[in-house]
Amino acid sequence: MFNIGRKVIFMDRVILVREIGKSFRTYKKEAGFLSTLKSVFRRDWVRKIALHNINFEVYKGEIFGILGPNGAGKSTLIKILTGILHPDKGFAKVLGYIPWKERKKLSQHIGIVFGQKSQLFWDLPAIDSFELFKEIYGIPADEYKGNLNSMVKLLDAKEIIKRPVRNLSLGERMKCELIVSLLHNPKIVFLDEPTIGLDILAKESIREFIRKIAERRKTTFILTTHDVGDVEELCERCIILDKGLQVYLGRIEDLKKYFGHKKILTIKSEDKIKIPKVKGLKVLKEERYKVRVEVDTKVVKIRTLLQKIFSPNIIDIEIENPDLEEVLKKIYRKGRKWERSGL
Amino acid sequence: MKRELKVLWRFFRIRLEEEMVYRLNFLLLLSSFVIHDLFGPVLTIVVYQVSKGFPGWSFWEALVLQASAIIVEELWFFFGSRVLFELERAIASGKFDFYLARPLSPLFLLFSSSCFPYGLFTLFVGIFILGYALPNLPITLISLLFYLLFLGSGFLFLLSLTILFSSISVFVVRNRPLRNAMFMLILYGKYPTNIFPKVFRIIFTFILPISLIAYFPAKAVLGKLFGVSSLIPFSISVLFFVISLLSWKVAIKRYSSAGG
Amino acid sequence: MGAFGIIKNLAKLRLAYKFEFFGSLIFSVLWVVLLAVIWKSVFFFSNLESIKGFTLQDLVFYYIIIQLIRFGTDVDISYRVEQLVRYGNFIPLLLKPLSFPAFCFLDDLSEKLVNIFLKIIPTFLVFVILFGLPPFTLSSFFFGIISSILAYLLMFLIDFMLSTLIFFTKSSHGILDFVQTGMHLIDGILFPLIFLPENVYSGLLYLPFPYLSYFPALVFLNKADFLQVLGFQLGWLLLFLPISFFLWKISLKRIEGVGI
Repeated sequence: MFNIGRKVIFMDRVILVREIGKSFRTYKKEAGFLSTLKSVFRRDWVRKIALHNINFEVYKGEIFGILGPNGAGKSTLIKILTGILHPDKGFAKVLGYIPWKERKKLSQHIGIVFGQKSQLFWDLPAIDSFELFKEIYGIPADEYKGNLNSMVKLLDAKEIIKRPVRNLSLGERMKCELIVSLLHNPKIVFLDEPTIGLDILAKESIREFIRKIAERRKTTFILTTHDVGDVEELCERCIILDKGLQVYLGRIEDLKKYFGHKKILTIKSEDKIKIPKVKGLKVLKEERYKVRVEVDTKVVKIRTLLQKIFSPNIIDIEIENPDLEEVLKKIYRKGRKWERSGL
Repeated sequence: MKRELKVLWRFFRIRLEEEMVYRLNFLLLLSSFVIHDLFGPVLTIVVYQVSKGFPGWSFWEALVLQASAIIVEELWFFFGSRVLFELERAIASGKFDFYLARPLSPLFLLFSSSCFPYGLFTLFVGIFILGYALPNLPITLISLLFYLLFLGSGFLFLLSLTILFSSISVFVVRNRPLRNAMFMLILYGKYPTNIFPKVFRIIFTFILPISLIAYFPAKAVLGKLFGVSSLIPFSISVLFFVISLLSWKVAIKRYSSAGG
Repeated sequence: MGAFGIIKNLAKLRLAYKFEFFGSLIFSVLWVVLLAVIWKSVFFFSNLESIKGFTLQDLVFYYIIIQLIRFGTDVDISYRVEQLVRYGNFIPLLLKPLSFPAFCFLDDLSEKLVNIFLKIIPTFLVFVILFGLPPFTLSSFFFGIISSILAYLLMFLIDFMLSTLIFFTKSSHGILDFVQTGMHLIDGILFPLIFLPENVYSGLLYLPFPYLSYFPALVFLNKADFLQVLGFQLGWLLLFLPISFFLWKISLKRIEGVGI
């Protein structure tokens, strides 16, 4: 992995986003026959700001994360970068093209995977969809074959692609979605929630695949996700959005510096659990035989804490990283400050 | 162009495969489409059994009219009839965005991905009836060529109507009324335009030219349409096509602004 | 929950689709208008007063009435049967103590009752505005209603018998689409059956199809002997009832035995 920072000017920039803003008209809808009838003649609408002053750059071969809670504007941003939507204000260039103006030309060089929505034909084996995409993207036969074979090998998907897509598990299907998005050797691939709903093994193979492709082919990946694991294992840099505002842009390492030291401990016991009063410990949920606490490992080590709680009848101890929602919540509280300071 | 043809061929094979999964169902469905096609010809035959028929049309000529309607409709049945339905599904599910993120025209992808293989088979009903009726009529090579031209413009009209309705569909999403309207317009176009009152004759020829579906092709093959008078309906179909393409452009622009 | 309660609930569900009636109203009106235009030009061109006992006015009212009868008698329970096939012996258990055919009947009845207010009456009013009141007499109207009710029961049985085929052929509603489309070719929707050639017409009289909408329409128009029609309808009902029963029994065995 390369070091970004002062070496910025020597890297190939593939995406440039400046002051992008986008808002929508949403219609107020109420239930009931009378209001449905009324809506035929007059509709009340409200302007909702989806994105406000977004600025960032992405470099070749990066795996760049776009994070944020639901409704943050992630999908809107992706749609603008892929040319599906055009912004109200601002400027963007993807691979030298203005996405919403040169959409067709740009499409030839980008791939997309929208996690929940499949691009494959449901009743037929994935390979049939691949052949179709080969024609749509005009991929030369030998390039297609070579590409397909190497990816199938990487994902161990030789049998999967011959089965009807509806018979595949979610993980298997996601492998096929990834293959289809990379068949034409795009320079950038936009992934919208690629690991959602997958078990840990499937997630691992998907992540490894993305890493390898980024490494070998220098393909840039733009990844939106809720999964902390995705972010930690794949992304170097990310942007965090909340309610359309840009609240963080920078390296994951730096994010971790702020919050990575907090862990969440879930303890189950046969006895009633007594929680010691310890500095750096915050109780999140307390039940008779189960407690959930947040531990600031900078203040108190987990080892120390466990010694204080130790009871002979502990059944289970679970240690988690704070989930992204928790991390984000904290960022948002700080976020207003950053936004004001023009970061 | 070559890429587009290859893509259309792929979609056709995929759709055919999907339909053929249940052989019996495929045949039954195909048969019901064939029977449906026969409604017009059967009504025509009955009309000519109990009367002198349509003013200005002999029995064989009326059959040619029916056959032409079937041919044009089935061409559209194959390529275009399912577009509105697919579009509604795509927009409602959010998958319409995929169409926009490809290196080919979204309109083309929409049409070819929704091709309906049955149309190619039912086409033969029209060809069969045509083959049955034509030998009884004085046909020249020139009129046959004109016929092909007008069948094409009839098909172009149905395509244009589909594109126009698709553009409206992008705004309203639930397009069942549009599909019904399409069905009705085709139904009215299957009968000779001259039986309608004068006002409607003008509307059906110049404003909403459903007479392109069967009336003008039949007139063409019967040698009753040549020279300057043939240019008018033809240019109307081209004009309508251009208008429909413009409306689609507007619709896409609006979609990319509002997000759908 | 008695039968009435079930009907009420199902009717409530139906009412959720309040606006779909508008589409079928427009469709019916446009269909009748088209046929009126066609026959008007035919009558004028051949200078006819009547065809086989039908004046132009008779003919238009015939089409109107048969449309309205269709709203009251068109049955499609195949989707319910498909559900049964998919979920196997689950459904009959859920419906206890009601039997599945009884449930289908109540379900369809609820639709018909809703149709009376949402489709039949509004459409009838529109037709009256456009064409005037059909030539009912008190007795022909009353007898027509009875005939239509019997036609509905007949239609239900036929559809039910065909639906049981779904169990045995493991197909879906393709077979019903096929049969129903075929039926519409010869059940009087397109033209009064008497317009057909002698031998074809008399052959059809041996089948149940003319009694589904054609003869009930004639009863309304005072063009058929009510008692004769009644006799035939009851005859077919008496024939189909035990057959339906039998087919259901073997289907039930099939569901319970094989578990589908």
